[in-house]
Amino acid sequence: MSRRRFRMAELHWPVLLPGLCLLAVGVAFVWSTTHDAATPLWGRQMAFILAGALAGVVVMAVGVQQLAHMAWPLYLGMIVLLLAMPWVADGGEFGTDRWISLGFGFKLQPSEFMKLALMLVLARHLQHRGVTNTWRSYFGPFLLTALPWFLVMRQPDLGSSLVLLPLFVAMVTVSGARGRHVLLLATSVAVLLPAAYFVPGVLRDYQRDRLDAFLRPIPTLMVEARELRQQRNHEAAQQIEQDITRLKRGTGRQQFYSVVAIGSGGLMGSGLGQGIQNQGNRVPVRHADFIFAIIGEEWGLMGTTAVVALYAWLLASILGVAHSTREPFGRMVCVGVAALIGGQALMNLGIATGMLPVTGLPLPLVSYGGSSVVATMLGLACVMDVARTRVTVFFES
Amino acid sequence: MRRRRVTVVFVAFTAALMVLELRMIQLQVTQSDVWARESQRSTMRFESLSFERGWILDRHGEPLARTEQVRDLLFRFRDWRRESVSGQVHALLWLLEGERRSVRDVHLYTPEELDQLGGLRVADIASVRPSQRRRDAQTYLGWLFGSELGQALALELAGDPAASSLRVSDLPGWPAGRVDVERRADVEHLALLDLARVGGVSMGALLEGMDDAVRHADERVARFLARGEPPKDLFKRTRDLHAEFDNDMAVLAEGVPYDGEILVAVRGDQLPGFSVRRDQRRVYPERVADVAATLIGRTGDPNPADIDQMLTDRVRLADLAALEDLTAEELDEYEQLRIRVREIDYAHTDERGRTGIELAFEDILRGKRGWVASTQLLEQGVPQQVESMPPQRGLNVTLTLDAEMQAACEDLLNRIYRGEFSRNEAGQPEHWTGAIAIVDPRRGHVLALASGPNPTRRDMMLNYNELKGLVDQPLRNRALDAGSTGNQPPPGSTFKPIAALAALASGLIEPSDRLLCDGKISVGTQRLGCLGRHGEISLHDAITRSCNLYFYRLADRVGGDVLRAQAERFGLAQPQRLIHGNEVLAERGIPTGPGVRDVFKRMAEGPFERSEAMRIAIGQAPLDDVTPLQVAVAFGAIGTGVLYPPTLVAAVEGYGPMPPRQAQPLGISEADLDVVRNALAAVVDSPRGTAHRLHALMRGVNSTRGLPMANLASLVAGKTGTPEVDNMPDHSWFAGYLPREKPRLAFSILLEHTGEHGGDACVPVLAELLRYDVFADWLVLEDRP
Repeated sequence: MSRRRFRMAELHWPVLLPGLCLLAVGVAFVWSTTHDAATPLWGRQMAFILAGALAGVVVMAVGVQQLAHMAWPLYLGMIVLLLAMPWVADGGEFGTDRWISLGFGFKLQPSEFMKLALMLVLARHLQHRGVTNTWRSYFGPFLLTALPWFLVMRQPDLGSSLVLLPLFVAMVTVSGARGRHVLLLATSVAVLLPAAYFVPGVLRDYQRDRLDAFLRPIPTLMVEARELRQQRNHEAAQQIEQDITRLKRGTGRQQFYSVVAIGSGGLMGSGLGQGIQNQGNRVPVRHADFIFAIIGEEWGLMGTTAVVALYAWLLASILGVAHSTREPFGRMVCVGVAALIGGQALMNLGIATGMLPVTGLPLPLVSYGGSSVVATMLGLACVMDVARTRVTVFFES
Repeated sequence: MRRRRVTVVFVAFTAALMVLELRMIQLQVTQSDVWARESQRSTMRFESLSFERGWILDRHGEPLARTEQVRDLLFRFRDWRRESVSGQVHALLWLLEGERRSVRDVHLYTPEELDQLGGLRVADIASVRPSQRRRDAQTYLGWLFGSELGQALALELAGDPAASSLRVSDLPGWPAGRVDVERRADVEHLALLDLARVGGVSMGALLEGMDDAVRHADERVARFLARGEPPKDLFKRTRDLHAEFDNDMAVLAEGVPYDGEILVAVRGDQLPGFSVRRDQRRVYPERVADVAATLIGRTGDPNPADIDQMLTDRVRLADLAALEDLTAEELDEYEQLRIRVREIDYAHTDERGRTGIELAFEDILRGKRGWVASTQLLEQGVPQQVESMPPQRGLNVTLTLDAEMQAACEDLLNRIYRGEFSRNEAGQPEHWTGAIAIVDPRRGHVLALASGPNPTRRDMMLNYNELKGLVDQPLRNRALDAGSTGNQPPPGSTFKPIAALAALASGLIEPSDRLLCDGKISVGTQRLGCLGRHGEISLHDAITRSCNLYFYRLADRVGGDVLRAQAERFGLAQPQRLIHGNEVLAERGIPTGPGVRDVFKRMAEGPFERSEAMRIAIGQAPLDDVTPLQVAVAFGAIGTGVLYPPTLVAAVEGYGPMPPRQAQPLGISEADLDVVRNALAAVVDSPRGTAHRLHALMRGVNSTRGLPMANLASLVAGKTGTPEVDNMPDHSWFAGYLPREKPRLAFSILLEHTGEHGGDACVPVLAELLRYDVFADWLVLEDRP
């Protein structure tokens, strides 16, 4: 077992470094957004990171291969916990059951850990060559994904449930599915998701409201109105502005002020803690789901580009590990972690910049939130363990 | 194969990240200015500041209308329930019990009642549903009894509240919190007592007003909830609506003294939710409140049309402001609108002139609104001011009116209307309406323009129909407005001196000429008569005894056109243009509007038939529709030899004193004028003069200050008039000037439809009028010891 002892020198820096940079950005902006508030949260965020690091060390000490054996018990345990949510959860703002109160004001969000458990089970299922080459063979992975997807959806937590889709698609893709199957899968997801809007009962009212707001996004309307103004078509512009006023009263305002914050940042931004929208308290949950809006406002294009680049770097490093390892379970784990982090980041940034409809979703490693930070760091620890123990591939048969 | 697939995944993610980066560049580089402006705008708050309306003063600087700062005591439910002990208890009990307590109930919460709150069990609080309601209650408990207790309670509730047997009073921080609540409640109670005392409101009224504000908020929320379909989370919706509607300001008391404002400012932290707002109100000083009420007019809220205009302007301004490439015209329009919207526009609370001088000088009297634009970004806890303009006070207008003289005239006319001066055959008082105009002929200054009966300010606030029930045409200033419903007064015999001057100036009549009066004359089929048979009569006697036939024959000699020209020269044939259209005001660029009506029917142009010319000569139609002011001005011109058109404005602040209007030389020799002046003196002095009774009326009579009046009658020169109107009793006139040498006052008195001779109806009025002190001040100074 001496091989399994954890040593600093064995840390995989290409993964760790961008991860740490993102965490640092996160702490900086949790400070920026909450240092004036009654309860500054950056200290707690540091504590979460510390907890995540410790958990990561434990994972690396245990080893990914050991986790592979625990994948099924972990998965089933999480399913049971999700099933029990309506009874154990602490009712949230929208009548949602997302969190379990841990006392001392700490709350656990099981859906964050569900993602990891699903990733492990899928990795274990898909590691074998040729699992996915017939239509019937997708049934197993699909069922594994659909069950937690449904449970998370019912909480409801649309954001977390949607993240499972890129996870599923990416892992199936890498598992060796046929190209046309992958294409078909991706297309059907692209078709079915919008279709959900029209099927009654799938979406809750507030989710539907958000979609409505997205279909006519305020920023687009504003640009439209502005162009009509320049054409001296004031009446049409007033019509649109009335719509904007109405939308601003609804959920569209979150995204609107997020876009305003990012756009007003310009090239260099206003400086950490100096943002107008940050101080004005207009961007909702700006320390968590909408933290990127404040990054955009206070660090400008430089900051947003840096964050995007850090994610690209992180994904490249993780997938690099997947690329170079010969060990199939480890590879699938790496792809899964990359899909989770990449999928969440893309969706969060898409929401913050007004390209996707609003749904509650943290920016991995950056947003405030214990469950998200710890779960993501656990994923990174898995990747680093794979990197440490990999057998480098020289050629592929 | 799988490794290639890893690359595919990587490429897919990278491509998506690239798209995001492009979006970022679009937002932060291409559209950056748009969003930066929007961001800046979202923090801006714009506050409009009210101005003080200019005053209206009389010639001696006595304010006839002024503006007073008033203070309203305001109450904001939201601040009270969040920050004061009673408010917090009020809100807490609402959350726990679901019923609103009255404010009186929770005010000064007794120790026993506090202990009831302490007796709440943690389990009870945990059982409050929905959870948002429970959390709100928890928040209020924390606010009330301090953060230590609040945190302890949160910990208990986060654990297993069902198992907790703790009560609120068992939690750490209770003893200190309870003492603190009692102390704070006492402090607030004392502050509220002081506020009631200083503000001149009873404590009961204050508490009731607060209850009303709470009820108002509740009702608004209920109305809103009833509107749409029932919300999913009723409590949350209610709570959100309250967060909005509880911000409404309720006026608890008006006219709070200065001390009240200071109290709220200094002890604001002990009076959460209370504030004092300054406002301004138009005040008509009590001593002269009803003086010239119709002339001064009144202010009122802007009418819907004004508000509409304001909104239209604002929309148009927003349209223009949104443009990025303004043309020169649009820029021009934008600048003008910006000034109008920001400075001149009326807030819906601004009083504006509705009638009279208040309306005619609206642009002068109203000030300009100021504004403060500030951002919500705090610099050392204070909102940053970005741009501001202080409000500008309106300008004062000084009138030529003498408030005391005006008051005397109105008082007298009211006495006449009450019937003090007339009894009919049955001994019942007759309600004569009428008017008195007094001018200073040396400059044309209008000193008094009284109309009787004179409505009080209170009357003017009445419904017009109610007012009409009291008197016909109650708001018409009869001194200035000949009316428009028929039977407007002709000048009658008061025109005879002017007709005489026309004849003398034309040389067609010599003062020594004697014309025959045999009682009547036939013109075609018409027969025109005289009151007596005067025989061969001279001009002097014809005026003194008011012989009609003399003037018919005079008209035969000079013709109607000459008479008309003379009437015009004396200002009887055209409007006076006292304010609107006044050339002196216009030259100085003083904006005026209608408001002071001088309604006048322009006299018909000739040529006139023989009978018409004859009627003109005795001051009947077609020469009709003159106003007392015109007649007074004409008699002033006879007395001084120069006609100054009347002027009502002595000075406008910022524009300086107003010069007299252009004097109009009459083109009549002094010798001719003296003939008429002597005749006018004889009207009073000669035993056969129509106003001879003036001497008798003033003999042995003292002024109100006790000065003998006997000598005063021999200073008066004037002419009576008794014009006939269709199907109605005759009007009565007496017009003239005094003193006879270098006149300082010209007057005219008109009583409508008395059916009496001018000498009988109006001469006693003058005798009574001259008893008022103010005339002694003007005239009798030489006679005083």
